[in-house]
Amino acid sequence: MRKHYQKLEQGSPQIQTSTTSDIVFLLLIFFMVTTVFRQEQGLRIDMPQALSSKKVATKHISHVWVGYDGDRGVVSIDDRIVPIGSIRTIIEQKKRVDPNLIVSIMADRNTPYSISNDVFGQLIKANALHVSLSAKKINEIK
Amino acid sequence: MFKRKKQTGSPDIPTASLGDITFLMLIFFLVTSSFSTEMGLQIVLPEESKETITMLSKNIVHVRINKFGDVRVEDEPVDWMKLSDKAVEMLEKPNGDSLVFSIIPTRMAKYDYMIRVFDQLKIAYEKTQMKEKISLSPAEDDE
Repeated sequence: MRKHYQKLEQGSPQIQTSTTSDIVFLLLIFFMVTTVFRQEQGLRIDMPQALSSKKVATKHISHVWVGYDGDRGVVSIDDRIVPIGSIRTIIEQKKRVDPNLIVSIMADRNTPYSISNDVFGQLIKANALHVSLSAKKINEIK
Repeated sequence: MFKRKKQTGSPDIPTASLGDITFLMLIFFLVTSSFSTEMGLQIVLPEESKETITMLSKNIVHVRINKFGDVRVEDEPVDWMKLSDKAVEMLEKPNGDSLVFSIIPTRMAKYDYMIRVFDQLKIAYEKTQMKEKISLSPAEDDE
């Protein structure tokens, strides 16, 4: 009998909701802190566009940024400007760490082809043959 | 006057919905923030080998690009926008599956020109569902 009475008293229990905002806010902070947005700055480039651009698995990827300054090529790997001749050794090292390495070439669309040609030559020498030529996906040619 | 002030002294702001608001904000930012996705054209470069690979020269289709972006397929000028149709046509001929497209830009040709030609050839291979055979040749000197 007494039990029954007690039940009636607890008919609509109140759940404390004032702390949920704190919890969600903490979650927000947690995700803000743990997400890594972009590791490298690279160079300022105007990316070429392509219709058949495909998604690249980002796991094994390593970027090589190719820009130009007049006739001279400017290459940046891991946010360091490197001479074109040393790409080979850098990529060879990366290839040793990750044999499935995919090199993503982020080249400015106005780069003279001779510069990218030299970069490809270096990659071939480093035996890094899987290459992705970064291009923005478009749906029609303008 | 005094009495009234005392009455409104500590008004209750309902905080129960605050959690919902922040939660909605969290969802909103989770959805709208695009994690940088990589888009690109895949290519497998040829291995560096001592022995040269001999190939029937009739199977190689030379696609030359000059510094103005003009495209010539086997010395025949082609509008680059129609290159994929032209390539499909060539691939669908008998023995078309043994063709190899060799892209040869000049030294001063823009990277962009090479990409768009490469893109067109990729589209042609996508249409015909054949195994891609595109090679990037060393740059030629400008005329």
